[in-house]
Amino acid sequence: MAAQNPQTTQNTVLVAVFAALIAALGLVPPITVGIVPVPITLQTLGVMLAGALLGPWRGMLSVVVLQVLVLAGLPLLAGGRGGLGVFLGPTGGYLVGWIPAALVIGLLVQHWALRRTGSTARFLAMLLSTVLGGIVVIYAFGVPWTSVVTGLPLSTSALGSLVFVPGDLLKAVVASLVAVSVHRSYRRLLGGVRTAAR
Amino acid sequence: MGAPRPPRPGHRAARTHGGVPSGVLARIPAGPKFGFLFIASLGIYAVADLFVLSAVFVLAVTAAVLTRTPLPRLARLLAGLVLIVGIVVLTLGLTTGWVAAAVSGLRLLSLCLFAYAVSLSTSFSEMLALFERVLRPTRHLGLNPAQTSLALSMTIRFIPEIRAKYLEVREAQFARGLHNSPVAVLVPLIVRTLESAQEISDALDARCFDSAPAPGRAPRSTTTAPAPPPG
Repeated sequence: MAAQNPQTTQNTVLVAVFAALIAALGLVPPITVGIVPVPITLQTLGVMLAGALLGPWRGMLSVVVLQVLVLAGLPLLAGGRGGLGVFLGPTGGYLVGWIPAALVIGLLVQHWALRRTGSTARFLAMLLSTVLGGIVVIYAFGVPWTSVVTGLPLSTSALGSLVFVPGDLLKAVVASLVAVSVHRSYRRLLGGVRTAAR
Repeated sequence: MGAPRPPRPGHRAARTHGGVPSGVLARIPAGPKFGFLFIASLGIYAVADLFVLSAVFVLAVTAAVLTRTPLPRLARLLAGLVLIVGIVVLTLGLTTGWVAAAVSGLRLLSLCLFAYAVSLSTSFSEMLALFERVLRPTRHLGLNPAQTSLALSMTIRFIPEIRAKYLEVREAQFARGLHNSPVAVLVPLIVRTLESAQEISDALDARCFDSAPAPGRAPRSTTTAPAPPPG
């Protein structure tokens, strides 16, 4: 128990700190474009980073912590949004999708991207992980959600979401560059301790 | 970003964030309000009659007004939603028909108004207490309540800290001529954040924060529930 305790506390602190980071990235005012306007924010960048830097479980938990606070009414989402209405609204699926997104990114990064040895291969693997988790997974929740809630056809909802793909791709590139660079200086974040424990 | 304005003397009761929600709805406990919201969200989608939905919408507006939130604040909360719903209604109206568009628009607005009414009439601590009650069974799945509340409160504490750090790093990178490079800002920000996370968890351990209750010893929290069985 004594040996396990520091690890647990450290994990809790990391989860909290990353939840706060995602919230802080929402303080940049959002841009709204497109047919079905979901605001472009830096917060999905935070979600990608949480998964890529903390791994599947801690990354997912930090998203959950943030969303519990949002659900409880704190205005922590971009543009000062928060409360139950955000989840029930037409764009709630994109928000719920953050949780599996962080999980998927974490799994891919921990078990695949970080095992690449060359720096280019590692960056590309990281990029593919963040794209799959941070775009494909989130849209897989957001697009049908909008369609079900509003009654719009699935194709219209999907077409509307395409407007955000360029911005999200850019965010995936930034997240991958940041993640590769942080992992280089903080090797024990996902590599050493975690794999040794298993 | 809208800086919090000092509360005007006459509107002391109307503050919500950090303040105490007032109004009739604030007296209802959080549990029943959530229950109502759950049933309403199912019911609203079961009904397709325009007349009934209009009545529900009026009810939702009344509920939102009953929270006694100042109108400008309510308008700011709803602006984004109204924009999205407007576009949805327009798209639906042009493609499917105006009745379907009105039904969809009324559903969305009523549901979101109800949800905002619940949020605005329930204090933050009351919400957290409800979540804690709901999540209590997860203790048997290995989720430690002490760790959970530590994570929640620490997150709130850290947001202004990280924001200040972000501005600091950005200013430093501006001085170096790295104007619009998010990587140049984020990497030092995250490294510094990770360093402070390490310091904090060391500090917590040095003070023997009781994170994982040892088997056979009662947890130090205030709950009177028996300790989870070991293993």
